Amino acid sequence: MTSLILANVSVGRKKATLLREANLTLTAKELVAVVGPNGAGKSTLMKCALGAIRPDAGKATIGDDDAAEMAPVKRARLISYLPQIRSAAWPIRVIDIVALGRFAYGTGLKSPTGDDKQAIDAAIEACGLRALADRPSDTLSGGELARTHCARAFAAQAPLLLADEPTASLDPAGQVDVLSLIRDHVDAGRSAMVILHDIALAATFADRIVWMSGGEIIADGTPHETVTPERIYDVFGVEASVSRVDGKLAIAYTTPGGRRPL
Amino acid sequence: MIPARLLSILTIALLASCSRIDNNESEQTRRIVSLDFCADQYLLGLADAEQIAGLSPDAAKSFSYYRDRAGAFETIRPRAEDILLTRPDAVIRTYGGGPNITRFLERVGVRVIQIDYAVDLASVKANAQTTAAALGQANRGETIAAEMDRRLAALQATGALGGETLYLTSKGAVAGRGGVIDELIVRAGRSNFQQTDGWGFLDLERLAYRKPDVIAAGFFDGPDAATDKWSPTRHPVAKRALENARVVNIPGAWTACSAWFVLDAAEAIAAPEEEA
Amino acid sequence: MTDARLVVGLVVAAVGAVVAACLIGSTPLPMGRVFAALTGAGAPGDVIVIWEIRLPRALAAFTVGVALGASGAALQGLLRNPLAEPGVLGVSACAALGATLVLFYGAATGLTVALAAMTGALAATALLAIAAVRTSSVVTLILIGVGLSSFAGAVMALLLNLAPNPFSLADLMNWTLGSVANRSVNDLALAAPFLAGGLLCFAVAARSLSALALGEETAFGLGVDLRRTRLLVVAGAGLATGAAVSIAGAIGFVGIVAPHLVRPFVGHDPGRTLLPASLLGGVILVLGDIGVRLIPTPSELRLGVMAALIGAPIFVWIAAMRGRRS
Repeated sequence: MTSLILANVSVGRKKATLLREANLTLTAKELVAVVGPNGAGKSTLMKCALGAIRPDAGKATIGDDDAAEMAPVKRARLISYLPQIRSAAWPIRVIDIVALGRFAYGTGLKSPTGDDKQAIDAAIEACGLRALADRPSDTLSGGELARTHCARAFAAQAPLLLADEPTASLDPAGQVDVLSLIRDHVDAGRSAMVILHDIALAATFADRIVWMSGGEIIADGTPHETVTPERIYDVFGVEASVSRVDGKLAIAYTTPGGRRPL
Repeated sequence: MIPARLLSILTIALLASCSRIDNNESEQTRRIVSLDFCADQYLLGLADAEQIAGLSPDAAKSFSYYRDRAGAFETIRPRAEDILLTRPDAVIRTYGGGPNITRFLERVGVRVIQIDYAVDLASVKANAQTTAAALGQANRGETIAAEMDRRLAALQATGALGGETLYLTSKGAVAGRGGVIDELIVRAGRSNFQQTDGWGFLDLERLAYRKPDVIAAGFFDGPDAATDKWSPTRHPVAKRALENARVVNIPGAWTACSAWFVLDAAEAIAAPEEEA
Repeated sequence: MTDARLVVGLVVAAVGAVVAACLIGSTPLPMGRVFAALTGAGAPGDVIVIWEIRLPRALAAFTVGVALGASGAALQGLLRNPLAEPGVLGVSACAALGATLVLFYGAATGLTVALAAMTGALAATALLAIAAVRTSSVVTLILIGVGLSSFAGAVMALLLNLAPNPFSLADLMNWTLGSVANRSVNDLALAAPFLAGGLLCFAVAARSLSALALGEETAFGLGVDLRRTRLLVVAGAGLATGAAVSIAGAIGFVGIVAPHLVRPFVGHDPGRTLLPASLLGGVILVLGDIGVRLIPTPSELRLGVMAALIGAPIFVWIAAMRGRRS
């Protein structure tokens, strides 16, 4: 199993420290949620893991290789990446977007065959896109587009998946939809690191939550271990109550005056 | 700024008209400024050196016939201000200074000697005579006219030489029927290869079927032969025609201005072939 | 597969257009004589007219169209905007400036002119690529292109006045408006290797351009070497546009129109747009050059005028539609 290891990774830009001595390991069949307020260093952490940013100190390792040194194609076969979803520059079809997931295997410009075709079909099926396959991407709803990009990321069949806020600007149904797809993907034997803003979603779907604040990882553990009103207040500056209902966490925010739940 | 400038122009104009009155006793017009390279030729070829107050900036260029004589004189840009600053008695022009300059100069009392566009050799001769007279050099005009007649008679005496002749410039312009070049070819005892009327551009396709015996190659001496990437003369079909025909080089200076020396071109076209 | 059918259709159209162009010229040649000459069986004069004059001219138009169509499609893929094109971005104007500079300073041979045109084009594309990394706004890029075009035009006009070699306004018009009149096989042969190099760059980059449709971040994640892709497109557009300008001067808008028309047929995939856009670019210019010769004007209309007459309204239309969508 390919693992992703970040060891003492630090990144600075113009005197500001974006990431300080982050340590993180992603191993088999794990869905890790990274949470924290804006500017906490979540995206920087993910870009280091992906090899898109070379750390100033420390090292990110994918399998046996230094992430920042890997050949793009080799890296892409081990990690698939789902950045914040934006509409495509051109109204390309759903099937073509998903097929691009096989880029690292040399497909493109012609109809995919063999393993590629199988991987694409499986991803389309898994994300329920069969009926939308020939639709141009500019006619899709936000949720459909998000599913399309999930399918694209899954089609790579890479052991690792990194997703940067895959639920941003989706309605609750869309958010649950996307995280369920990622959960199923992980349960099929892969691992994923997902940046989320919503602690409740993180607590529902993740095996582990990595809490970030001010460029540092301040906690890393299961939702049951780490989701506490104190931590939510420390990290996000909001008051919340955490209760356990049938073994599941329920989080409710309270306004500073404690007037009424949000 | 502008009124001050205008004032200075008017002052100069006034001075210019005064000096004209001073020199009026002399039968020759003094202080003449030429406004374009063609007028330069008339001034350099017909006037005395003392009469020349200024030449156009092109007077020493490769296409100026009397460029060797031009070095001794000042050059003046054909702009109202620059012209008036030289306090001329007269200016001489074909096209220089633009269409409105004549009215302006005459208003401020500068005489304008306008050389008409020559459409044939008769008007070339007439231009020489009338311009010479206007410059106060009528005798020289008559001499040149007589010389032209003598040279044309000599060409006629040689008789018909035959040989279809194409006048072709390095930019691909060709001289058709009518006009001075056509007449030069005919007076040289040859026939014009180009069948169309007036000036035109080289028709490469026609060269594929029919080739001229003589190519009078105009302006091939100038540097624009190298700078023009668009001319049809670069085409292999044209190059082959140039290789196969007898090529008579006509320096641009001979024909750029249709003055009496265009006969140089006729004589060159008529000259017997020198076999190498 | 629709792509293959589209390409075959365009190849047929290209052959048809080139043959049609061979029917037009100052000498009226009936179709029978044209075809006889094409097979090499005609009268010697006919063979010269077809093989040395009409066919090279038609092929020059086609080649230039291919280069501009491909450059447009590749630049649009890289910059992810349908308005990017060598003409609009000032690449063609800078190529023309390079060529005229060499002509002015007397070092002009066919090869140096072509090399200078390519240098000018490369400088412009490189500048744009650097700017593209710094700004995500394509409006900014197009404004830079407008600036480059104006600057190149101004320098050329300045050269017109300062020239040690006389240079005519007509020459300048040819460089800025473009023409394939009087082009010969020699001109084609000189530009062909550079054009081939440019097209090869595009072919290598094609797949990455498809991936770039999803944005640079996603493309990076997919395994696209972004730096290499940028380099390939910049080099390719420099070579291809430079080669085109060295043959025919700066002809605008073909690079917008051709990709725009083929895009719906290839699912808007930038990589798959390249080949059909090139072919269509070629067809458009061959037809444009036929038009130039059929329109009865006292002196022949320049091909770039024709291209702009057709292309500029389409450019405005695309720009207006985009504004409405976003």
